Amino acid sequence: MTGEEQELINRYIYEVTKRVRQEQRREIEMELEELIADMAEENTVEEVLKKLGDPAKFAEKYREDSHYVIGPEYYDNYLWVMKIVLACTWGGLLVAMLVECSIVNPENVLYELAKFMGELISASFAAFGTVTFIFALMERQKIHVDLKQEKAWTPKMLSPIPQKAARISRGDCIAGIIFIILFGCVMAFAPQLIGIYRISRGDEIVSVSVLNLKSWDVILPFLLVALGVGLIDEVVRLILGCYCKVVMYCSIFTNIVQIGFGFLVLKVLPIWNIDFVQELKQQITLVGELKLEKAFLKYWNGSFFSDIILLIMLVACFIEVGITVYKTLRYGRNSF
Amino acid sequence: MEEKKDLMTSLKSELRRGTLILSVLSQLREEKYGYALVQSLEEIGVDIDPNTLYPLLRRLEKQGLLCSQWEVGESKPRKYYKRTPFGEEIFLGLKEQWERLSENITGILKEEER
Repeated sequence: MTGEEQELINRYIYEVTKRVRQEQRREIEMELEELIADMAEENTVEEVLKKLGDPAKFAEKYREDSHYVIGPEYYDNYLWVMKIVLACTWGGLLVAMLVECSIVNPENVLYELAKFMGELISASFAAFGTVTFIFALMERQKIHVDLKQEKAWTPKMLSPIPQKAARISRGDCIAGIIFIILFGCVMAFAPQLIGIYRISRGDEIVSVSVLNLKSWDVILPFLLVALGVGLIDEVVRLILGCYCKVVMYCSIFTNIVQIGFGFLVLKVLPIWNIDFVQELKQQITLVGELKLEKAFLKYWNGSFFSDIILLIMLVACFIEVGITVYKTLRYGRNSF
Repeated sequence: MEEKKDLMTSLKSELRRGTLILSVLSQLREEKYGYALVQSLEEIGVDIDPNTLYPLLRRLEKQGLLCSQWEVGESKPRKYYKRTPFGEEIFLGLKEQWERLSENITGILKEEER
C-alpha cells in the first residue's frame, strides 16, 4: 500500500465518519479500516472506494434519526409563511424608507437607500431564521408527540372532523402575521417615525419622537420578543387551522408572555421620550402652536399613556384568550 | 427504455431486501467478521454491498440479535459478529415465516400458470 493510497483511504474514512454521531465515530472508523484493508487485498484501493460509493450516502445508512429539519408535513406551510413574512418585512422597510426619503430626510436619499439595502439584508436573515426556528421546533415537537403514542391505534381514536365553527380562518392569521411583521419592522428600523409631525414655516416637516430613542437598544429586544411570541401564536393557528388543545395552550401562554413583556416595556422601561414635552414646546415656540397641541401638552403624561395602552392590551388579550378557550372547549373536542 | 430497466432493477432489489436479514442471520451461527460475511453471502448467491451490510450489522446488534467482539490478535483488529440466543430465536421464527411464504407464493404462481 503506497502512501498515496493510504491517504485516499484516510480521506474516505474521514468523509464517512464526520457525518456520523460522535459516539459511533471511533468504532466505525475501525470497522472501515478493517473492511477497506480486506477488500484491497483483491482490488486496487481506487476500485474499492468506488465500490463503496459516495461517503455521504454511506454515512446516511448509519443514521437512524429523522433526516429532516422541517419534514414534508410542515414544509408547504413553511414555504408559505416564509413568503408572507419576507414580503411583509420588505414591504414594511420599503414604506419606512419612502417616508424617510420624502418627508423626514429628503436631502440624503442615497444614504436612505443604502440604509434600506442594509436593513433589508439583516431583516431578511432575521425573518428567515425565526420562521425556520419556529417550524423546526414544531417538527421536533410533532415527532416527540408521534413517538409518545403508547396505546395501539384503533379507529375509535379518529377524532371528528373539525366543524366549521372550530376552524380558524386563514385570513385572520395572515392579517395577524402581516400586522406583527410591519409593526416589528417599524419598531426595529424606524422608531423615530412615531411621533408628532408638523409642517414648519419653510415647508419642512419636522417630527418630535414620542419614543425614547436613546434607550432604544435596550427596549427594542423586549419589544421584539413580545412580537415574536405573538408571531408564534399566529403561525401555530395557521398551521393547525382549527381550535384544539394545542392552539388553546399556545394562546394562553403567548398572551401571558405578551402581557408580561408589555408591562415590562410600558411601565418598567423608559419607553417614552423624556424630552418629549420639551422638544414639542421647542417646535411650538419656533413655529407657533395649534389648539390640538396645546391640549396635548397640558395632558401629556407618559405613565398615564402607558397605563391606557396596557389596559387596551389586557382587554384585547382577555378577549382573544376567552374566545379561544370557549371555542376550543365547545367545538374542539378530542383533537390533538 | 432506461426507465423500464431501472424500475425492474429497483423492484427486484426490493424483493431481495425483504430476505436480507434472514440471509445475514443464517450465516452467523459461528462468529464471522464483516468482509468474510460479504464473501460467504456472495458465494451462496446473495449480493450485498458492504455499505449496506455494515450498517445493517450495527442495527441488528443494537436490536439484540447479534453480539460483537473486537479481536486484536492478528495484524489488524477485527470485529466479529455472532447470533445471540435472542437472535437465534428470531432467526428460527423468520425461517419458519419464509418457508410458509415461499409455499404460498409457489402455490399462487402455479395457479397463475394454468
